[in-house]
Amino acid sequence: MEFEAYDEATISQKLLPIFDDVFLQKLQEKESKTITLLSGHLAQIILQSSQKDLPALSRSLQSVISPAISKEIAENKDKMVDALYPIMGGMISKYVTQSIKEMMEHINEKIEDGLSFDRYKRKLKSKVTGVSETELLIEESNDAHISSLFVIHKESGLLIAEAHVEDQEIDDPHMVASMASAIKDFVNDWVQHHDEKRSSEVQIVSYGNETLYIESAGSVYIIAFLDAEPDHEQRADINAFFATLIKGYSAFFQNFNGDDSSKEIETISQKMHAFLNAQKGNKLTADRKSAKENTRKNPAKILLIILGMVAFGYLVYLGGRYYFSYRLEKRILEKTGQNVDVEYIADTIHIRGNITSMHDFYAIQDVVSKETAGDFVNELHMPLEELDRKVIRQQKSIEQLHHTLQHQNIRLDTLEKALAAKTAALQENTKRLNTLRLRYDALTEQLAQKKTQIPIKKIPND
Amino acid sequence: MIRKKILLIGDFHVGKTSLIRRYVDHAFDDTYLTTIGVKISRKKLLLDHKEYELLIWDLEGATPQKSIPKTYYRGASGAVFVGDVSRLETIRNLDAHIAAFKEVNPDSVHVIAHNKADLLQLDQTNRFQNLENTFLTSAKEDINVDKIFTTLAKEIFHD
Repeated sequence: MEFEAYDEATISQKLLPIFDDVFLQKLQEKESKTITLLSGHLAQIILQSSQKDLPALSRSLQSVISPAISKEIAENKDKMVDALYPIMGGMISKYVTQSIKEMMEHINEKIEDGLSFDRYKRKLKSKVTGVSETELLIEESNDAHISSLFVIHKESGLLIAEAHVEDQEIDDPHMVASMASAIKDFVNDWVQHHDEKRSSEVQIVSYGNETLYIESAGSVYIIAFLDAEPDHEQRADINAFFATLIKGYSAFFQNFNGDDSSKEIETISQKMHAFLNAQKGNKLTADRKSAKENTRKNPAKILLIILGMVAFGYLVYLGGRYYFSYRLEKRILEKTGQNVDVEYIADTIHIRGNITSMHDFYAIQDVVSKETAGDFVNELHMPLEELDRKVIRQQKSIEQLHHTLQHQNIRLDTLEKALAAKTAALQENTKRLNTLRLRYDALTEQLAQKKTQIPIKKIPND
Repeated sequence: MIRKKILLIGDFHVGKTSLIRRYVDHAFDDTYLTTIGVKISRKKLLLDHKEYELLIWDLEGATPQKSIPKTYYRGASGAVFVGDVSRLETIRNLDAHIAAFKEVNPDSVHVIAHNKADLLQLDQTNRFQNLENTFLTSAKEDINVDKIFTTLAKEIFHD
């Protein structure tokens, strides 16, 4: 034994079978020096292990870390919350800010597009429904976006046709189609197992923000892959589009045998692409309008729309006439104080009502002429009693005038007589005046003759 | 390209998933993971220079307490029925599985895989041979795995 103690190999050989037990015993001892020694090197051991074989160390720690975190959270919830709050709060805040930013951009786009028909449609909808325009805008901005469309054979779950928005292709669509069918079959089977009376099918499958809208027909069903749950209008859009496919390709769908090289599939895919592209960015492009028209080629609907438009136009026309009549009545009232009716009969304005004077009659006629360029029918009238009163008044006036005239005639006769007397006297005086003038002239002549017969005597100058 | 749906049906733990893994991925893993619901794989194959594709539905194993939803059977063109040679009751149950499948798909075709052949002694293999459309298979040793799928595919696509 003493000899063996000098040989290291022999010592190792002797110790090896009992080493684990001895080591365990040392570790279990209270205030063991071994633990103190090991703990000093633990960090170094982990560091070296990670440098040597990180995946192996990760695998070893994986089984420990998850339960450790769970236990830590259970025992020190507040500490964990405090530790995570700055990180989680920031993450959530960033996510919410980004979402709001996207929504605002969307709303701004819609507001900037201010002269579009949609804006007036929204305004009208807001007035009719009482929901504010902002709420309607937010509702519109929340429209789900369809990234892919699948048409799947119902029985086999085989993909018949697919379409994607650019850069949003789905990897391995055939697998996805089969898996979606399996999920749908499972849910339907489960629901019917629990409630045999129900025959409805699963319509919405959601995971996070991803939503699958499923609409089933007899032999096929369509899946729309969206980024949010579709609203009623969008569902109706998808269903209407799906209905056109069913209508056009019903026989093909029923006899589908898994062969994807047929021409029908190409055509169906093109139609699906057109439908998807039309809803890109939630704007009604020309393509979408044509797709919508294609999906809604219902003669009765079109006729109804036309009739509706005609009725609307007629109502606008009647409203315009009513407003013009109302305005004219008001104008007549302001200008003349007369309350008359203005009415359109076969495109011509008729003015009706009772007036009390011809002055009003002409005043009204004047106002209406200015407003209608003279094209109107005047049916104004004065009541007979009023006219009678006026006639009597006029007769009395005429009689008075007659009396006055007679009186004036008498005075005129008298004046005429006086005038005749004066005229006779004047004539007499004129005759006498003429006689006097003749005598004056004769005397003047005699005086002139006498002047010429008398000699002129010269007076001396002394 | 023509695609068809096929199923793998059998009791639990008979090696359905392993057969598919061997056929599709050329791999085998000894770890047993039970299939929940259904797992779908696909495999392209050439038959007479023409390309076809199988969509393989790996159904969860049936147990006495839980049968497989019949809706999974619909529209399948064929099926591989799998039993475990080391558990004879799984072989005996195959007839019931086939009947249930044929009830939904009367015109479909099928093959039978007596799986885990690697566990049999040489003298024990005789009792599983000479049956129509039935093959002794081993996903672990890659015995007859391609053959069962190819036989089934030929019957499906050539019909």
